[in-house]
Order: sequence, then structure tokens, then C-alpha cells
Amino acid sequence: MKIAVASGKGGTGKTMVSTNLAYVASRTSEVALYDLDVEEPNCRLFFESDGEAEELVKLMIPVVDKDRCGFCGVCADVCEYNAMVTLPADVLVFPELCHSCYGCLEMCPEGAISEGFKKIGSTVVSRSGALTLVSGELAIGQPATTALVGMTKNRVHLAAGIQLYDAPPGTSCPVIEAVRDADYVVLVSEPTRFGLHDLDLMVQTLRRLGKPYGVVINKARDGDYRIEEYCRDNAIEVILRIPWRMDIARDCARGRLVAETIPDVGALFETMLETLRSRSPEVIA
Amino acid sequence: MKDIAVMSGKGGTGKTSIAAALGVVAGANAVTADCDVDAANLHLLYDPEHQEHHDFWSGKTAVIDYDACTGCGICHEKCRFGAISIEDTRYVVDPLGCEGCAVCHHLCAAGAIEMQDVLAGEWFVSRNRFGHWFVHARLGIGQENSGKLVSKVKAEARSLAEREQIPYLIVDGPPGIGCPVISSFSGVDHVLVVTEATQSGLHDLRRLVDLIDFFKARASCVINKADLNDGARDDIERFCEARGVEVISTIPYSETFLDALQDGRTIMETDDVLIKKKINDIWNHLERTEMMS
Repeated sequence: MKIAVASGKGGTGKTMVSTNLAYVASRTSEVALYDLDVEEPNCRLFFESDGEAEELVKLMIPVVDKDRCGFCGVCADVCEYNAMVTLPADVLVFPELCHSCYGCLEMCPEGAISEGFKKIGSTVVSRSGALTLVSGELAIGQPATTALVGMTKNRVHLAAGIQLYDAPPGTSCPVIEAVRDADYVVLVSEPTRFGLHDLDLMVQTLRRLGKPYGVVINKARDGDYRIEEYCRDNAIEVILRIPWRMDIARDCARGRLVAETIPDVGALFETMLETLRSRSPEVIA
Repeated sequence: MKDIAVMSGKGGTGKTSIAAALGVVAGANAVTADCDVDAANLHLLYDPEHQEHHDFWSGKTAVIDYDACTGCGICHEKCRFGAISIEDTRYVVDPLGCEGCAVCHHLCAAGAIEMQDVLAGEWFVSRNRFGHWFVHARLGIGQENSGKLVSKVKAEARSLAEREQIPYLIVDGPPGIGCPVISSFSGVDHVLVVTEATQSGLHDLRRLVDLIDFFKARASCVINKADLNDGARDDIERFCEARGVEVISTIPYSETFLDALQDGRTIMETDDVLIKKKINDIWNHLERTEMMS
């Protein structure tokens, strides 16, 4: 089963939930955790690994054979991203603007364009007990976040067990790419104005995608029930409530797994895992 | 006009709270712009009154004319983004997957695929509840092109500041280091990095400072939640020193941020004199640095 953990707003505890859920689940199942927050991947900070395998991730960019090129300008005309410019006796390619759609290569009447590659980042696979961690890491200065999200998911496939996606923040294309093949989405929210506003954006997004989802309320403070009320009014299931507590904040800040270091938090994640299992027992068990 | 961007790499470090507070301190001397268009939040503290409202059209999406479609399947075969699939008996375009590259449009022998403009969001020029200029936007659900909307918001805020002869632009930047962040760098004079004393904060700070170097921008750093993890704070200070980024303020972990957010106020409207002084000092430092450069 594929479960995505997303949040809309950054810093609500999305990575805290996905790493701890992965840890608890890996005690009884085969688990792969995919860090799809490729601009700022942090899952690796929470696990000791027994060795890592890094792979460069490349995307196609056009390479123009200037001996065959007729400088007709078709490639620049069909490029929707202004990544190519044709001059009277030259063609310029701007790799950072290229979306690797292959339009120029398909349309060149002289067959003068072939595949070159640009590096957009890397994927790192590591093992920690029964947990496989797959981290996507975007190279500095590269805008190809969405492509790397997809390629990180494809690096490792689990035949059985649980695949967990730690999604990027926001509500735009990288998040859509992260959740599009998920069976269930966990939305991590916090009871602040920002948290509620961005939760609502994610709910609208998931409704449009037709995905089942539930909400984790993190940093819950007594007396503030705005997320509970929102969920009740919109018939959304609250699957876990994690209290605002200094011991949790401090252990997370040190890169520790709170499900391991704080017993009652570990019990909360066990309960959450049971809830998720009961949503779809035949696939998870 | 000096362009100061507040950025964070990691989400939830207090970037928007601090940007909002700096906007209040700067008052009539700054235009504030919310460039975190994916999950824009600054308006929740500023209660803006819209002066202008514009649709944002950007990008294209493929639309199949089924009367003309012969079902040859070349669109499906050649789409590199997996956005065209077979449903029931016909090819359909997933608008959320479509990159708007128009390869299918060009290759369709029957001329059955048209590229339509996409309404990707909207942007506003407003006065915030303090009476100061505020430019912000809303990206449509699941839309791409957030980088282009960021560019639009920035360009409008810059020209507004120049037209009104306002000396500063304060930008609340997006999280991460990708496309929208890169767009926020255009024309920036000073990046104020807001990090937090956590392992994740340090990790994301490194990547953001690499990006700042890539764009050769000036930068200074605020360490928020500074007492959460002393080891991480020390590491952040050492890292900043090694990279020539001055740490201009450290702010202890405080429920003031949460309390203010809960009520929809900025931290300058709370009773926490310690944090208010820190924000004032940060702004004074930024003004001094930018006046001299």
C-alpha cells in the first residue's frame, strides 16, 4: 500500500510523522520510505544507515548537430519553454529552461537533434533494519523538482509491505506528482491560522484528485480545536492528535525518532498505524 | 529601492511571522510581497483590502477534439509526462499531469489537439490593515507555473515601489530551493535567512546558502527557536561564520509566535517586548547594511 504524508504548509511536522510512522511500521512489516521533499530532504537525518547507494538523476536536453542543422528555426518555434534560440548560423540551448519534452527532437526536419543529458540531482538508497529509505536530492540551482519526485519514486519498488511518501510542501505540481499514485494521503496540520488555511488548500487539491485522506493534528494545544471543528464540518477523519510538547520538539530538533525515545508518543504512532491498516487490511497486512 | 527577501529553506521556521513583523516595523517605507504563492499565508495576518485584482494566465493544456480524433494514439505514445491515457474507449488528457509542451498538438496528424491557455491563479495589489502596500497572489489548486507567478508578484511589487518612491521591498519567499525560490532571487539585494536550531534546520540552511552563493546575493541569518537544540545552534553559527553569513539575531523558542498566529496578529502586536525588540533590531540592521552598500 502506498501512503503519502503531505501538509500544504511547511514545518507542520510532516517529516516527523512520516519518519516515525515508517519506524513503527518497520518493526512488523517491510517498509520503504521515499523522501520526496527533494528540495530539502531531511528524512535521512533521522536514521542510522548501514551504507548508501547514490545514483545521479539525469534528464534529456537536446544536442544539435550543427553540420546537419539547416537553422530553420522549427526547434525554437515548437519549444514552449524558450529553451532554444535559432540564429542564422547557430542554435543556442538553455538547459535550465528545458522540460525534456522531446518536442524539438521529434520535430526537427533534418534529424539534427539527439539526446544529451543534464544532471538534476540524485537519489540515495539506504537501509536501516527492515526499512529502505529512498531520498531524492535536487542539485543546487536546478528547477526540475517535479521530475525528480517522480524519478525518486521509481528508484525502488516494493513487492509487498508499505510504501510511505514524504511529500514536498505547497499545493502545486511537485505535490501532485508526489500523491498522484498514493492509495491514501495523511495530511499533517497544526492549529494555527496558517495551518488551517493550508490544510484547506490540500483538502481541495485531494478532492480534485479523488484521493482518500485523513488528518493528523500536530502541535495540538488545549483550548484550540479549530482543526477538529474544520474536520467535523467537512466530514474528514482525524486519525491522530499529537500534543504540543517541549520534549517532542527537542527530540525532533536533535534528529531523534520520538516514537523510539518517548514511549507515549510511540504508542500514538502504533495506534495510527493500526488505523491505517484497518482502512485497507487486505493490502497492508 | 532595496529588495530584501526573507527565505528559509525549511518550512515552519517562522519565516512568514518574521517577514510580516518586519513589514510592520518598516511601515510606509516598504512594499511587502508574498511570494510563497503555493501556500500564501501573509494575507491572513495583514487582512488586505484589494485595490487591484488580476487573473494570471500562464501555460497551456492539451484539449482533444473527439470529432477529429482518429484514435491513432501518437499523443499517448509521445507524451513524456504520462498525461494522456486511455479511458473507456478514448484518449484523455489529465490536465494536472499535462506540462503544456504541445508535442501532442504538433504530432497529431488529424489536427485534433488544441492547446488552451490555463487560468493558473490570480494576483492582487492591496493595502494591508496598517495602510501599507502589499502585493500577493493565489495559485490555482494543483497548478504549475508557481515560479512564473512569483516573478509576476515580484515585478509588480518592484514597479509599485519605484512608482511610489518607496525605499524597500520585503519579500516573503517560498520554502525550498527550487523553481519558485529561484524566481524570487531576481533583483534581490539581501537575503534574510530564517533558520531554526534543529538538525533539519541546519541541513536546509546549507542548501539554501549554496543557492544564495550561486546567485551571488548578500545574506544574513536569524536563528529562530535558538534554544531547542544547543548543538544545532552552535553548528549553525559555525557554518554561518565559515560561509560569511552574519548571524544578526537569535530568537528563543517562544509561544508568542503561536499565540500571535492563533489570533491573526503579527508578533509586533503582542506584549512580548523581548521579541519585539529583536525584530526592531533586525530591521535596523538590515536598513544600516543596505544603506551602506
